[in-house]
Amino acid sequence: MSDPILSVRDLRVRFGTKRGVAEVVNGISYDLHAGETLSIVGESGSGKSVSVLALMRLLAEPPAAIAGSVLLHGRDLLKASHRDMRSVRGKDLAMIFQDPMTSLNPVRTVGYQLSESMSLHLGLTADSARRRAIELLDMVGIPSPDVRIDEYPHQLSGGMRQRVMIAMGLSCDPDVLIADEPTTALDVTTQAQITDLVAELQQRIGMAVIWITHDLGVVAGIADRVIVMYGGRFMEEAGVNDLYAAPNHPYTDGLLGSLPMPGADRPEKLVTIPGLPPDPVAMPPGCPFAPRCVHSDASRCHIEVPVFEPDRARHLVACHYPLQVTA
Amino acid sequence: MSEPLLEVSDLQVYFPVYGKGLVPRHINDVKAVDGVTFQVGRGETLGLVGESGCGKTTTGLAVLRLIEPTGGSVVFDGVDLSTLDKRDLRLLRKRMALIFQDPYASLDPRMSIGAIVGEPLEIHRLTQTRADRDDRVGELLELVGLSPDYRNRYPHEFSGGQRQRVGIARALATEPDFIVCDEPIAALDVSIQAGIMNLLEDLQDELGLTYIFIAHDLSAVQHFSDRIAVMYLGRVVEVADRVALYETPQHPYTAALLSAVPVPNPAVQRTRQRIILEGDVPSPLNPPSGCSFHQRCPKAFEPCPHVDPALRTTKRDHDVACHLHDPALSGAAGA
Repeated sequence: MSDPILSVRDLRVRFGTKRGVAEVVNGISYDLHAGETLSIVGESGSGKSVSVLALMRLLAEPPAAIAGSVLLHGRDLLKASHRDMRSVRGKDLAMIFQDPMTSLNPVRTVGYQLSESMSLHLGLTADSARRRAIELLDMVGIPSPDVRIDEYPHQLSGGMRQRVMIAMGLSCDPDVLIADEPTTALDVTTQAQITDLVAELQQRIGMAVIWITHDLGVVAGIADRVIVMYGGRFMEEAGVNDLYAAPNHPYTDGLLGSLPMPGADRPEKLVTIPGLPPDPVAMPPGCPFAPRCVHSDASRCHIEVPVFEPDRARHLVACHYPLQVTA
Repeated sequence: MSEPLLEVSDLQVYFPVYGKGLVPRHINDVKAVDGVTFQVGRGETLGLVGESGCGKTTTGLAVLRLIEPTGGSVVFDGVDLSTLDKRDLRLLRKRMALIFQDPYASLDPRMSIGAIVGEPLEIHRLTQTRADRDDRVGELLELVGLSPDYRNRYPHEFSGGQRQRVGIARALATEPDFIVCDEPIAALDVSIQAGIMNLLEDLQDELGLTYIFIAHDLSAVQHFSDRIAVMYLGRVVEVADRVALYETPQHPYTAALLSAVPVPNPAVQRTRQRIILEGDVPSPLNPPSGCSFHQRCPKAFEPCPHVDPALRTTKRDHDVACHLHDPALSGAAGA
């Protein structure tokens, strides 16, 4: 396999809070290769969003304390200066956010917001930036882009705002696009439009995508590889088909079982996972999932943190007692 | 469907829009709900699905007369709600309840759990003494899977799923026979959603409840409902049994909506035919002429932009509002 574009090693993020130190991301490592779509799945509080904000260096430090390394083309972003980061963000690493209403500036036109990064990173003149902005709006499927470019975010529908966000993300041909729950605020028919759009643009431009979501249905449609995150740690990492056909981690298995499947057959009861996600200020000492896990045992799971066993190269699971399911 | 407990006919809810000026003139209406008709059988769950802005929540609130309907009628157990005065309505409200979407916004942060769950008991004078009330609150909390000891604690001490259970306990306080569940799981995490859905199902079996289950998540609605009504721009476009709706959707909008629901199975999700709709839902201020879906409909034909299709029964227990299924017109469709 080619060298990865992005290598994250032992990334940790902690926040100082009134109640104590919140351990939000607790040592995660992964590689991202060109053209690949990697999905990080987890529930609220699992640390999935914080982990990508940390690698974009978008967290204020303090209160955040970030450790580990994030290598982009071999350069460690965690050691880069703020000035260097400005030239990386938007150009090499672009990000689209969950809520297009709050992440667009309400008092600037769509065109202004789109042109900003292009004049900064590509040195385009106002005229050529505007021409390129119209092209981008057209590319993401906004009708009459030459009119829309002078409109303000409130004049656009939610789906169109998300398209504008995507256009902004793509404006400088990034190597990596990080999409943080980009369709969560949208209706299903709009969600389908947006996931199709990103997949199509990815094929055309060849960028790698990190898609953060809690929706296992969306993941099934877009990801090449999936990482399941819980309590700031990776629980399982596998190719998308393997993960769904043979979940090895009890948490993944529980999540999949708790989903109502669209279809005619109604299961007797949905599987529920008892208990609550761990409090980041008081992380359990062993496996973060142990307190809710039906397979956990006091002698091991509650004491020793399980890690990925590297010998199972394609399907990694952090569990002392992985489920023996084969695809 | 069993004998109907609730009959809604031609329900309309318009929100007036006023112009500017010294004496604002009524210039238009947002037709949030525009002629909705459905029945809910006793002990049944009717799912109400549709995308944001389609009027599903407004319908739910208008059914309970929490929003005054502009027109149409809501008949609950033989009584037309619009004819009732305040006092009689309050008496009948004891038999109806509402579970809200956001368990963070729907519980007063300054009231203890006991006060929240006990409030309906006081309003309807269902318990005489303080001790009675506390006992009953304890029972209700146990019913929804919470410890009775929680009655002295406050909402901020609980997780989203636990708060939603408190909201359910409050809804059950007056022993209603009918509950409108307005997106009860939308604000919750996946692993918590299943628990709330299972609880609502158990309560239905145990107490013989009738539900309207409002949601935008079609998988959840399908799992939970006996029959499903699909709404688009203030109208019901299709009503059918949960299996029939999934297997043989008749309205092109239902078909598109179903095809857009992500399936948590890569083999299925990547190979199935999806119908991607163009554009956005039109504004309810100026709905399109004829069928409100015709501009986005892949199967629109000659009458669609001009004639508004009525909801008609095409098969047993399957109603659809679409010209494609009008025997008088279907020849012209050439489908």
